[in-house]
Amino acid sequence: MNSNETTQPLIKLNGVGKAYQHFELSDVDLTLEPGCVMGFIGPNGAGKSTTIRLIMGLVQADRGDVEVLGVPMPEQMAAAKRDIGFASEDMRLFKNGTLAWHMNFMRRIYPGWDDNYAQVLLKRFDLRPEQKLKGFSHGQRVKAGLLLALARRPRLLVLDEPTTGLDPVARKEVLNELLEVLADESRAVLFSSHNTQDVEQLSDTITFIDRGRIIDSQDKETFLDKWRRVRFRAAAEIREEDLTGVVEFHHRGQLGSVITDRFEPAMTERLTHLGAEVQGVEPMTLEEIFVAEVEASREEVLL
Amino acid sequence: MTTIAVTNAAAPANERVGLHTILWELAKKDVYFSAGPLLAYFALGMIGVALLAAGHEATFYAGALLLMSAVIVTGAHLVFVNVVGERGQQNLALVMSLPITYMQYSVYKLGANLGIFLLAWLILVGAAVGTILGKEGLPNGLIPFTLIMLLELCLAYVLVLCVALVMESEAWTVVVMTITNILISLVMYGVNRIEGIGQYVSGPVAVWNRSSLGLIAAELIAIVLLIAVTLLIQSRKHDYL
Amino acid sequence: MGHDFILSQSDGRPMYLQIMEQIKLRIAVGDWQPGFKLPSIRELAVDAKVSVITIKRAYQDLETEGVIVTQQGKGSFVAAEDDIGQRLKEAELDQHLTQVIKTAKSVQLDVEELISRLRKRWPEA
Repeated sequence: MNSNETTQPLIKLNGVGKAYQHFELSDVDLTLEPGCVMGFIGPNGAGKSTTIRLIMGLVQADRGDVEVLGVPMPEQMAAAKRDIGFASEDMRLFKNGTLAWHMNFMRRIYPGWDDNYAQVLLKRFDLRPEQKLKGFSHGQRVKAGLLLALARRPRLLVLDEPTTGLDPVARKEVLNELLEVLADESRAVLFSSHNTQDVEQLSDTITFIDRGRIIDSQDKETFLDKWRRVRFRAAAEIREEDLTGVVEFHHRGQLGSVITDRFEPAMTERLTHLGAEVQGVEPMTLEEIFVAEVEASREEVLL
Repeated sequence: MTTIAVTNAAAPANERVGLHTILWELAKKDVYFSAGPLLAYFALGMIGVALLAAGHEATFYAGALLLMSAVIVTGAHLVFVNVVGERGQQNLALVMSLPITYMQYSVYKLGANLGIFLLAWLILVGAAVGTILGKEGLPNGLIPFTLIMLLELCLAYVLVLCVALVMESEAWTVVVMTITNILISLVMYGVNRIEGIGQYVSGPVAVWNRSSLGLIAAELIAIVLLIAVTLLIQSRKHDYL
Repeated sequence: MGHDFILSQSDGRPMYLQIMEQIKLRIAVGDWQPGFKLPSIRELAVDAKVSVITIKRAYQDLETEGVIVTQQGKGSFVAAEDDIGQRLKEAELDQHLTQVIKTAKSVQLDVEELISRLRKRWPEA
């Protein structure tokens, strides 16, 4: 692992596949560049946790290559993990230890531990170091885990649901800290979240996974630009088949709308040509896109 | 023949904290979180030794029982808290997020929990043998038998420890532990009946013959084999969570 | 060093548009003079608490509109144009006017009727 390579992707998954009894991850391609935040979204059971486990070397891929910080996983996981900060929902700190004990533990193991920053985080996250972990609430536990990961100033942060279950203040604190990481453009963050607002706000790249496959992985602005909701008004019948790139289609009475994931001006022309009056072309929030995408793919399965 | 890689991949020396430091910190952690109970069991064991030393037949058996119980419960605690519990309490994910491989984890886990156990075990063995040697009322002939039985306890512990690590299942661990505990009494009875051991138990001299030495050697070999096989199996695993 | 860029969550528009608007506002009121060096993309991202790519997009679009000028390796600067604030305000006015015209057409008004409506409202607003 060469720490001088600041242009090399921090995570690179190529054609990765992993089969379980009731679930299969297949053809996963994923690249995380330095200086980048990747938001990883998908419904429950889509494969986010499995992908993250593959990245951390906790499981081994059946097919394809997993490379993190320039070394293959899981073969050289020890080398890679020196510079990865990991926090996950199903990871627990030792319940009989205090937060201070954990901080001490990490300090002795990681030479990059920044004690000043750790103290700052203690205040910002409002945590008590002398308290045992078993006395922590869920939110405090999550913040404690993040503190331990952040205070080491690792080059790569891999976070599984870092803001889930946090109150609004705690969420803001966490997001602030994640953003501070990005002031250094050799570092990067991968985080999975159900909170589409967080993902929309923070991510440079959005990776969307469903049923073990990557649906889309590209820079956020381009991604958001592709999706539009077009509202129209038409007395005549407009048929869905006459339009292209339709994800969702409604037409009741005179008013209707089309959701598309491939918007072009030609579409509004097409609608006008079919006799509709286009009333608005609206961008969609990530949450709306998420729901539309997943609902559409569920329907496809039923058909 | 595949080599089991235990050493770390190369990293700039000044940025690196030695692997031994990480594994040592983990071992210390295992002790730290069990320190209270372990000391309590140890105290129990010492009471057992005291009873042994009292020299009467009744206190001898009580003492032996207490001693063995202390050793057994120490082993059980170590396995259930440090091995089964770590996985169950979801601490394993935390440990595996540290810069170690699963093989290194296995080595540390086995090493630390064997080490802690052996520390208690050796002190108690020493106390027991010393008491037998020192006390007039206890025939030295007891020594080989005692040693064999205490090694049996050690073997049972190693078995349960290895099973816990390899099978990753609380159920399996409980089953094997229960079986070994039941077998101890049977083994004790069986060993006493072996030609060359049972007959010298009440004698004034510790008799080291083919039977007693052979049995001890067999137990030691079994322990080493168990550890080797466990490490081999662990090295082949690639899905840890 | 804070620049106090705060994004509204209830604002339905894409974030990069909000950033652009706030930058234009600062230019329009004169807080950021022509020639002023904008914060680096990364710096503003941390300040506004949004992704780097959103800021990048905002800067790119601002450059296309001629509001800022980017020099490779040096940074981005407010376009050295006289009365850029005025120009921006007029551009905004034109946008509003286009909306007004669209609405007028949709209720079947012609341009003369629209002008007379404008005259009527002028002293009141």
